[in-house]
Amino acid sequence: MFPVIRGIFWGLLGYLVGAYLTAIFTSQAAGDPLAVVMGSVAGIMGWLMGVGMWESFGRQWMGLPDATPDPKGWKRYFHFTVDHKVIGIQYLMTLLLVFVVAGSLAMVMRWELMRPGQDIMGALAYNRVMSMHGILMVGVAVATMMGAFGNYLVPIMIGADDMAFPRLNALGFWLLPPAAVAFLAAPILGSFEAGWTAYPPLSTLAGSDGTVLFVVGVFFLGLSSILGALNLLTTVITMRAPGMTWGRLPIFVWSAFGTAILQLLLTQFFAASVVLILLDRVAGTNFFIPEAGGDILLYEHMFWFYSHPAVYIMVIPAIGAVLETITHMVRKPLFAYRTSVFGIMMIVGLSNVVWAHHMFTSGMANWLRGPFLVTTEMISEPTGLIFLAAIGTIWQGKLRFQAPLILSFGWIFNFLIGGITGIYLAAVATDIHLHDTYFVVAHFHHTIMGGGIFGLLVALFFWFPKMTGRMYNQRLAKWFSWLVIILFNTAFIPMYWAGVQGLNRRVADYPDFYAGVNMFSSISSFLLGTVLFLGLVHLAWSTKYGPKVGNNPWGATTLEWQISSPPPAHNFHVLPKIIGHPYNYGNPNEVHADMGEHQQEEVSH
Amino acid sequence: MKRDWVSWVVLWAVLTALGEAAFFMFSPLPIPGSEEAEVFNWIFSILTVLGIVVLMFVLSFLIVAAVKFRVPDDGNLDDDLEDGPYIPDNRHIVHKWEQVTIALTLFLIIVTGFLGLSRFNGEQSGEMAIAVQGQQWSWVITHENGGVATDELVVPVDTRIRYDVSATDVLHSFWVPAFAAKVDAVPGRPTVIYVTAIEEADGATNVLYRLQCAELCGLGHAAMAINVRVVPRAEYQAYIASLEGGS
Repeated sequence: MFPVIRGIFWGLLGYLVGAYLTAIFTSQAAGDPLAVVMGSVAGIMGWLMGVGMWESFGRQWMGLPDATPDPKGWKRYFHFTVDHKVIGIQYLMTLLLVFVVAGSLAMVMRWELMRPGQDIMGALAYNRVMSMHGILMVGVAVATMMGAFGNYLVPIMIGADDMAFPRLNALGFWLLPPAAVAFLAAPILGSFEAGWTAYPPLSTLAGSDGTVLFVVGVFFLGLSSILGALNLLTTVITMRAPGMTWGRLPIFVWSAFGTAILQLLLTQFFAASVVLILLDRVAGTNFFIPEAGGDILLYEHMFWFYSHPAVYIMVIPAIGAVLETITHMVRKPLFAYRTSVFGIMMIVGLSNVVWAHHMFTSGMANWLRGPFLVTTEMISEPTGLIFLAAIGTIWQGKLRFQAPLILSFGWIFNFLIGGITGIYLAAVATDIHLHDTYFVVAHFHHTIMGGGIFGLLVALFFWFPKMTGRMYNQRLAKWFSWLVIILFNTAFIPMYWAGVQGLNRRVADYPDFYAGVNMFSSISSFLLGTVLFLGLVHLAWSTKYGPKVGNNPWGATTLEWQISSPPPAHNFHVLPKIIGHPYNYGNPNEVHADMGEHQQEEVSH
Repeated sequence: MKRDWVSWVVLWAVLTALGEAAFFMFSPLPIPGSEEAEVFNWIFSILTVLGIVVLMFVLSFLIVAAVKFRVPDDGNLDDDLEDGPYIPDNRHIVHKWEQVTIALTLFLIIVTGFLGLSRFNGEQSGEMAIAVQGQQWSWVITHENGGVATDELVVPVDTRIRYDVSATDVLHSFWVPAFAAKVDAVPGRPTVIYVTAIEEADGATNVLYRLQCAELCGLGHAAMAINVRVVPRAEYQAYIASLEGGS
């Protein structure tokens, strides 16, 4: 616990010093945007140094002997630990906590929306809660699959003992708590009510100082994302075990690899778009001030240039996790492996050139709608290949209908709904009506929650025994899976109707005409929130009290299941030799790996 | 194996029939209030008819798979780990799948995409113009004769109108749900949309006839809506003549 407290101390001290020095030099209040930015910069340095960068990096810079502590047991999780498995758990726990907070905000919103008129909060509070829910959930969706499962699983799946840059990995994680704190603290500073999209001029108006901390949070989150991606790409390229050719990578590794490319190449555009907002606020520039020649559409283009691919950063790792889970739970080889990899990579490529479909009504040049309509609809082709892989794998399989597989079925259904409704939004003639309505709200919840968060649940339930060595109660988990699937759909499917019938989004109040559908959605949401929370509580309980299971309860073939649960410190006692395809079900002639347990060969590193 | 295929196809057909019937019996679509809304309803219907076919294709598969391929659960995990058949790939099916999805995508791009877009755009000229200005948090409507209204948007029926949309402070969005037409009001960048209303109506009795701001604009965003009335041309002329500033 000590390093975290030390980090908080130095972080606060850094913030105060940075903010007050700037305030003194500029003769402004300490809440002035520039002072907040400088305070945050000093604060993040203080926090990182306090939490462990001093021992891991700082001492070496000063020529002192390295003093990286090596704590044992639960204390590892509160240290600047470099073990990729510990970092994976750190990501998972942090983000699940943020998920619960952001989910509670969603419950508050649904409470307000349950009836027309004002119930528990006014429009200002609603806008703030809505903005906070948005950015926190975006953070969760962007970082969880890659941060938690990418970190935990990819090195084991490729037969490596750790990530390529373990200290960088730790740095990436410890940037995350300050990002969450910056977002959560944004309303203290001043108005933060422009949504997570932070469109100017609303976000740059005088008094909207909350935007400053929002920008700072985006910076931390983005840096964390970029560092993680860089690390993951290097790891997959350089640290694969002997024989682990590209054609033998498990599909989850491929999906993480594709996602990392997007993260590494595109996250900067989010930072760049919000830094322009920051400059408008603190440096007197005019990027988005029309009276001075600024152009608001510039922001929208830059913002969506990242934020559309961000959807795929959220969903592609979930695709990988679901295909992986299905393969093992139905005990059949992944159908059309090469085609699925091609599909994932084609999504990665196409997602770069579709951003302006968020802007069909923005007033951009009319002719631009054509090309973006084409590229957007083209994405249904590689996405179709993913569905083919799932269907082909399940066909004639030996389905064990445990929680991971039930949730995977739910994922297929949700993501299909999300995909089909996406076509309504890609077709300009329908998007012009549906844009900024509840149809869009329902659509992106079906893709990001139904695709991304459901992928997280699938991964959580599938790899839980690997991470903990224990099993959850399977009967409860099955109930949980069915309830989540049903309640999720009853919460969001009615919103499609509301959107078509003219209910716009991001409103605290609405005409009485939409009362029934909102009441229904709200009740479903409350039940969904309760079930999700109880499910997480059950998993937490099972980490300590669940029955112990063997190393490979699913009888799966990939590398992570061949080692003990939870895995040993350096993953493998002997470096595995990869001699076949990862999914060799039904083919006794081929095995994935020679784990070398019978050999005396020692690992050489 | 053959029987599995048959059950899938039969269930697919049944569910698709049920789905399409449900769509046409309980249509979620509002009665179109403009030519643009007619295009919207037309494209929406094509997409839904096709979407139900695709949705039921997968849904029926999931149901057949869950019923036919599931291994009974005896509560034990480790035993009974029988493998399924070794089917790592089937180029024939993959190619067929690619052909069908590419054909579907092309259809979507051409028909619901470009055809819909060109029909929605229609003729980019109007018989008259109405200026709509958004500001936190109200609308200012200026008619051609100079008459200004802030309480309601009154438009003549069966007339192609050019809306000149602008904003003074932050982003807003011009949207009349019944018209299925929307364009953002962008500070410093005038935008235009053409709409032809086809039904006489009054927002007092139909909630879809309201001029609603559709882009988050701050505190009063939800309440930034005014009534829309579609009236005969003669009535419209009398209305704008009665407005302040009207000549």
